[in-house]
Amino acid sequence: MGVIEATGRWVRFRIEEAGRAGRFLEEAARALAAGRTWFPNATLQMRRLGVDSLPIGLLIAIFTGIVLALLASYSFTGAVPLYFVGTLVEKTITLELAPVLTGLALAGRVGANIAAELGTRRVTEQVDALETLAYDPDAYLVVPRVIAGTIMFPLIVGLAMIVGLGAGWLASLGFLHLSSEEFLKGARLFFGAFDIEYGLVKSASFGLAVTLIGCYKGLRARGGAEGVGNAATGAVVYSAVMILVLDAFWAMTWLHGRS
Amino acid sequence: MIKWVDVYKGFGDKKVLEGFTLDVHEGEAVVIIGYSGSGKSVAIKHVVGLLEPDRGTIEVDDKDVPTLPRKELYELRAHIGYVFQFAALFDSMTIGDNVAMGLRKRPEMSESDIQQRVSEALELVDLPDVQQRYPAELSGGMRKRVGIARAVALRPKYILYDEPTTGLDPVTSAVIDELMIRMREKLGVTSVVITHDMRSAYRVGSRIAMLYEGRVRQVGTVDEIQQSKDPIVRQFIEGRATLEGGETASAAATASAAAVTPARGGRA
Amino acid sequence: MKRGNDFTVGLVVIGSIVAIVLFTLWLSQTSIGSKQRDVVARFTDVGNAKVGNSVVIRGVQAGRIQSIELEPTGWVLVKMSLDPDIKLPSNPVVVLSESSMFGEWQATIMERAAAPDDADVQQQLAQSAAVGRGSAIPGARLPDIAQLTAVAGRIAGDMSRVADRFQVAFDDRAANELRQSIRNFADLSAELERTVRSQSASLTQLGNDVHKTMGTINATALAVQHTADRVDSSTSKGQIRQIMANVGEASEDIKATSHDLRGASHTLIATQQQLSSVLTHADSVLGKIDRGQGSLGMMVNDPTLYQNGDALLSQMRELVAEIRAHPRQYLSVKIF
Ligand SMILES: Nc1ncnc2c1ncn2[C@@H]1O[C@H](COP(=O)(O)OP(=O)(O)O)[C@@H](O)[C@H]1O
Ligand SMILES: [Mg+2]
Repeated sequence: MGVIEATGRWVRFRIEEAGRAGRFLEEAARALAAGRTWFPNATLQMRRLGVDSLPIGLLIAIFTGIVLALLASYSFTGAVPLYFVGTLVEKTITLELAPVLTGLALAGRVGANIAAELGTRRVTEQVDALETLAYDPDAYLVVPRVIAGTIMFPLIVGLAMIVGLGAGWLASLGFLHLSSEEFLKGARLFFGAFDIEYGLVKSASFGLAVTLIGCYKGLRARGGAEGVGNAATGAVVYSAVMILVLDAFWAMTWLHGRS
Repeated sequence: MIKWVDVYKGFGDKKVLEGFTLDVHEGEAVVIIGYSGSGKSVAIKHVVGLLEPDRGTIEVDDKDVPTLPRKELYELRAHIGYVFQFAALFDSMTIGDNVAMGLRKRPEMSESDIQQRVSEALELVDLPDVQQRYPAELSGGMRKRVGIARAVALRPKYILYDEPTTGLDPVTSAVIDELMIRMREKLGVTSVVITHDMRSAYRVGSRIAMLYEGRVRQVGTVDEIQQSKDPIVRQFIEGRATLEGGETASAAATASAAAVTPARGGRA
Repeated sequence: MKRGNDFTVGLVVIGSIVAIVLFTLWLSQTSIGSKQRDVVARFTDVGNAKVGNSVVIRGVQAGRIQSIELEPTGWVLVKMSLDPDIKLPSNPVVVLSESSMFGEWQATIMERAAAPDDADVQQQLAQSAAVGRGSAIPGARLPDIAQLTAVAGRIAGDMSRVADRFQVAFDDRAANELRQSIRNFADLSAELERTVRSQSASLTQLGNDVHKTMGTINATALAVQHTADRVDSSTSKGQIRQIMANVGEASEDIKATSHDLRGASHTLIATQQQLSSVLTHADSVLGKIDRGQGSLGMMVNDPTLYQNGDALLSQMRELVAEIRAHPRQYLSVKIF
């Protein structure tokens, strides 16, 4: 009895949640039309969520590049010519590590920031106040953040790719005594513009997901400081999971079957 | 004209409004009194469409608010000023920007017009020199007055005040009361005022309505309420712990107990 | 405040877009601004060459392969984009070859006269040139003979080990090792035969010759086996003498062969044929040794035979060392 009821309630909650999330997406998409409301806020959010996230994104890229170069040379152990270090660094940085590691770091930084800020605005009735002043919170709060995330994530990741490859290059020169020519030969060996394109599109989808989840969780925060805390935690956890799911999605639909 | 017609509203299993009906006529100032947590804020949030009723409806100027299309709802909101219980100022903006916020939505207003209105509104609430400061730098009472200025600056047809004097010192309370009276008498603003402060209620209100157990217990002029025979109303306006005649107020005690549950804490 | 924001954001957005685009172009070595010059070459077959492989002139990277298209006429057109200021040889041809063991290929543009003196390559170039109307440069691909060199290297190792043994002592243990080596050697010659066979598809001309040689190898092997069987059963003196005579002949053959090889610079075909015949003879010699105590005893007792065998092996070793030292002279392939 209890179990059946509990299951029923759980299913009902899930369906309601999915419905709310769907309505939220619909409202956010509709609010895109109100350009006059969101546009002035977009640059502010691009700076706060994007430009201010550059240092952490680039720092991660530097360390990733160094580690990859050393890891590659360790794994090859003489069986494979050392210039393949360049190939491995180029491929893993552009296709996977720059987008995913930066994405996860920004899921923490950006997702938590958005959820906490919008959550606080929600529980202090600032969101209600916006509505009474005839502002649409979706257009005023959600859209600028989502746009900022979708535009700025790929740019940060693009710079992280450059910095990561540069760090791998320097590490190869310094630790592996590889020449610049050899490293570049390896990096260029199997390089295609597709590598960059794939990484950037993937990052844009991460930016979209992280900001949407942050806004959704924040605007649905209830009940004071604790509610805001829960919203921030939820936003980070869901964003991180969503990034990994999207990563697999792109790999299966876009990467798979190409040669 | 604001009309609540048999409004029911609950949150989950908790019923807040159960057949709430009340009319507010043009030029009136209706005061809503009632225990904390009895649903006064919930009732006025329905007027601007922040909440939707489970049953019943709310009409403003003969428009049915819950079914109003988005665009018309925003037009309607532009004519209703809402003073929040805890001010709800935008903490990332200066006081000046907070007050100007609603005006910036009006394409016909130039920036200098807006500045003029902002200064005017802040002077009305006796806060002329705070434009460049941020909400966090002000005291609770000052923030509340900025909240009022933000609503007044719109020159709305209706103003809904949610506990505008709660937590203010008696002198500032008197200033706010004066302001509310002036708004009504000079500018013809129709107002709904939520308050626990009976002195303020008698001063400001043309009529007083008591919200009790989800519906209007009694509504009438200041005199009618002062002469009410209803023990629940009498207990509230006289601020006694027990019902008249010394009997324990079982009903009132329940209501008070409900009021103890934090109004905004936990999940309802 | 607001303007400051817009400025920072604008700077970062424009800066990153420019950086990412330049980075992509730089990594893919697309030069912007300066126009690339396209050169088209015609091939019967392009082997493992791919779009993006290097184009080399006189050992210097000069561009990349832009596209590879199969024409309805059956020719393969390879379009290469070169740096604009590079001068082509007056009568250019394009040769596709492996540039590393990892299956990377490169296109080398060279003077017609400098093309490898290989009958097959020459034939490909001639055919391609004969179609020759239009601007396409004649092209040819070198055979993929990495496998052959690998086999040759292994033979060399085995042979030098056996030879060392011969010089030190010839006892029971040596006999055992010899037997093992011979077995390996037989495998190797079989492998070489297989390799040559698989090559024969592209080297039609060469193929016929090689097939013939292989036929001889097989016939010889059969004959040897036949003889050896009889040796085992009857150990008759006359027959052993016959075998010994054969061994002598074989060693003469090898001497002549290795002399030939070192004497003049030989083409790939010659190398392959001679390698095959060397293997055939060596195989039969050693095969004979492998059978029975009787002949082995004979060999140990007969100083001429021993000396012959020794000389044979040391010459073979020299030959192999020579091949290893100057592989390009015999086999035109770069391992790395
Ligand atoms: N958005 C909401 N979600 C859940 N419960 C709510 C919400 N808003 C109000 N309530 C509940 O409704 C009841 C009435 O609240 P309110 O109208 O704020 O009381 P008051 O009369 O003191 O203004 C309270 O118990 C409160 O917990
Ligand atoms: Mg309230």
